Amino acid sequence: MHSLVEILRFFLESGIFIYSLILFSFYLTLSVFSAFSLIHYTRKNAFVDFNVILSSPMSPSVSIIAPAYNEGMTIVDNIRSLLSLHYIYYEVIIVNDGSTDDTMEKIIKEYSLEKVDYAYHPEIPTKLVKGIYKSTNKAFSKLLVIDKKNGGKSDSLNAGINVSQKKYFAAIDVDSLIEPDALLKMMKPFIESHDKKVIATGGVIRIINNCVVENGRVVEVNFPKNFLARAQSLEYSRAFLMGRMAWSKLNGLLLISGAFGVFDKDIVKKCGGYNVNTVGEDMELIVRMRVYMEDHNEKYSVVYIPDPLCWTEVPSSVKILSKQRNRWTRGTLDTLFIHKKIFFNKKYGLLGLLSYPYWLFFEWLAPIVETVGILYFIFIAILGNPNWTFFIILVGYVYSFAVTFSLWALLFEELTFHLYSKRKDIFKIVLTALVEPILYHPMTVWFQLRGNFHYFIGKSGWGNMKRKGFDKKKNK
Amino acid sequence: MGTLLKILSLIVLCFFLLQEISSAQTVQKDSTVSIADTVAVADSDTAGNYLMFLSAPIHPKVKLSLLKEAIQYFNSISAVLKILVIMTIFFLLSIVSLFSFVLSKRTYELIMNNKTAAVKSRYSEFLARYLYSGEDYEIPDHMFIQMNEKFNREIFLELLIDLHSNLTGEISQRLLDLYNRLELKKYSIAKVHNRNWHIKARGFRELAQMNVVDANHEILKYRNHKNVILRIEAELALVKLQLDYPLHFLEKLNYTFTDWGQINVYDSFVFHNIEVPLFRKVLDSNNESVVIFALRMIGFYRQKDAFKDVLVLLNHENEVVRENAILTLKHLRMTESLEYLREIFDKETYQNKILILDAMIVLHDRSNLSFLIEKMHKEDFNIRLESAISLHKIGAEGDRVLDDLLVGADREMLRILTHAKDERIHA
Repeated sequence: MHSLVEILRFFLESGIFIYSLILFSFYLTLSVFSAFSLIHYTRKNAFVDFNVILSSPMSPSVSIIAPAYNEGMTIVDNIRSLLSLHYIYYEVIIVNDGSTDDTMEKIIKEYSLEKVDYAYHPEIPTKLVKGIYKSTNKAFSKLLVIDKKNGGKSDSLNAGINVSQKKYFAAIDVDSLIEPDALLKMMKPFIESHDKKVIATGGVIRIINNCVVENGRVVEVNFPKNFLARAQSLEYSRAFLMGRMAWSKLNGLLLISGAFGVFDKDIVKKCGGYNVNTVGEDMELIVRMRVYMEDHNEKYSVVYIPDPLCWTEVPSSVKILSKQRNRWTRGTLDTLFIHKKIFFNKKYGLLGLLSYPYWLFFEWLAPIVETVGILYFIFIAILGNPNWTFFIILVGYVYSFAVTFSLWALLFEELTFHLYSKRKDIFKIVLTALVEPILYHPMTVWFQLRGNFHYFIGKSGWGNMKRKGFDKKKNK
Repeated sequence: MGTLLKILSLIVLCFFLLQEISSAQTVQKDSTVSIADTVAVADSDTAGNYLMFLSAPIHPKVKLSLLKEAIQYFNSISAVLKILVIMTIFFLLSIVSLFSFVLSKRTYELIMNNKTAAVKSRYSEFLARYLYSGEDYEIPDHMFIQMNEKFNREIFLELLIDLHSNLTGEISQRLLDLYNRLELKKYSIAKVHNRNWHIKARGFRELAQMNVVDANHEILKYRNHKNVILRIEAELALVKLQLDYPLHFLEKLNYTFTDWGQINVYDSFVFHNIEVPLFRKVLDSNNESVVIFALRMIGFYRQKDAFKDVLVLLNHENEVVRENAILTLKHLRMTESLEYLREIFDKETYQNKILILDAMIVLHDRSNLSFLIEKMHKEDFNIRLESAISLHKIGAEGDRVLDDLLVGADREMLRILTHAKDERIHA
């Protein structure tokens, strides 16, 4: 009995401490990889003229698939924005996922749509497609609209894939803003690859809260006013510029954001399309595609672009943030469980030996380990004889690391895309970095714990992700 | 269950490893005793406790001055705590340095931007004066002196090259003269010899833009360089500098000629108005990516004299080469190719079958009728759909076939036939 307590004590004290050291080492290593990768990318891009893609008959074709559910307020402008992207061979497929508002009526009216005799052939099974529409106006010949029964985002994307006539497809959230040259940049990795097949590309998602938007374009970038949005802005910078950039360099990227990603349609079809039974469909698809490529012994890569290509509104209320993080956690867990066979399976190389274990130990388990550590300390503080010196030094260490890591992200930002050009924004970012570990981080840990709890009790669904919305004309 | 077992065994393994490490460390501590170590080790009850921190308090009770006390205290804590303290100090210093760096970088950039703008404006004025003066315009001495300074020279070169790329004829020639008179060529060549790839690549661009033909041999060395960007920049420079035969670089190209490289070379042909060479000359290359490029170019430039060479490639062992041969025949729009496409159809991959049918939509001809009717009775949905569209494109005769198929058609066939005839879909 005594030795069992000792073992438990060892886990709770040394185990958690060593775990956090490994985690921090991972972060530091990734940031070093990311720095090299960013330097290479910016140097390389100095020689790139993306306009050559725009005018070349050799440019690959892309279908943009945008599922829409009750987007009546913004759908017309959003489609216009998609139709004016800078690219040569592309079509826009809007999938009305059984909206209960006037989404479909508005599209039909604004874009002069009429139902066509399209032979819908669901190579990937979907909910019933009620009709497929094309515009009578030749100016909108790139537009195709699918009207179907409600089946969720994945089901809508699958319907879009089924009717796509192009070699690649871009999956986007219709309420996000895409930079005009986003497709040019996202397609380049597919074109320039020579030794590996690029199966998917993803780009940086930027936060639109408090930015000035005119005619569907971000014309002035401002740091958000709302604290939650500010903290998420920092979080996104760390995740995208430091984390994903490094994983891309290592060819171990497991996630391309659902807000905007481009995929090789053929591979996606061979993998069976999006999984309709998970809320983490974006991550699950990438993992499945990677598993498919590994199983077929094909050289491949998933590439990440550090340019800011897509703008999205992040939750500015605790309630909505809670739902989002809860869903992300359940999605991660789903993917990890679905693909558990690759865990430390050397057949899957880097995927099985590094990417998957990293996600398992440090993305999924991190909030749980952190909570256990805190609870254990509270337990000791109440009942035992805590080592306050160690506690204070450890807290100082963790805090200073967290702030440093955020400031590294700021530095990367400064050296590359320099989005926040106002001097006062720098002070705001630093201030947010100083308070974020104390105020914001515990909140997200709690939401992730709830996500875990909900997953294991079988609670599912997306939750209402109502956004405040950004005025398409001007929003400051 | 299997995953759980793996996690458990990993944790147990870590536990034993840590136990081993902690025992080893304690033994080492015992053999090199210092005052600080004694305090640290004495505070832990057992060897196994060395790595157990939260419940092992340390209370140094020496009254000294604050700094001395801090040092004394630091010496008294365990090695792990020392590392943590050092790391914390390092991170705190990083925070201050990063913040200061970002702020000072902004100030520096502001100063440099202003300085660059001023220099740019001065050189723009100079270039305007130079271009609008006669041929006997004397370049001021200060220009020669300023060109020795890297900062000025780079700005001037950027302006000069930018201007040259947008001008033609006599003015363009005058800019070339200026480049030579200011002896800027030697700096561009020096860039080619620089060990950094991005500076080399910039050198290639400058030499190509300023038509330094005698730099050919220098650049040719890089067509098989392992750095793909450098390779593409060399290819682009060579296209521009080897005007007598711009495809020369493709000979002995050992690496894959990427789609990105191909797109850029094609753009170079269009942008620099380079006389289009006969691409069939490289169709027999051993490098399949070069063959694919040639096929694409033959299609885009409709080089019909390469027709027979393209037909040969329909039997190439590489699927992608065959795919591009089919696409080329589609672009050439020669109905003579139809019989060859029909001939290879059955032995082709599924993707290439769809491409052949797609080509037949463009090359619609009544000679396809019986072939397409036969395909309409195949099981595959996409093959039937493409065949139906192709039949519809043939015109009245094709439509009659589709109408005949309507009789007794099942639901799926009915959908295919109405789809094929709906012009709004194919618009």
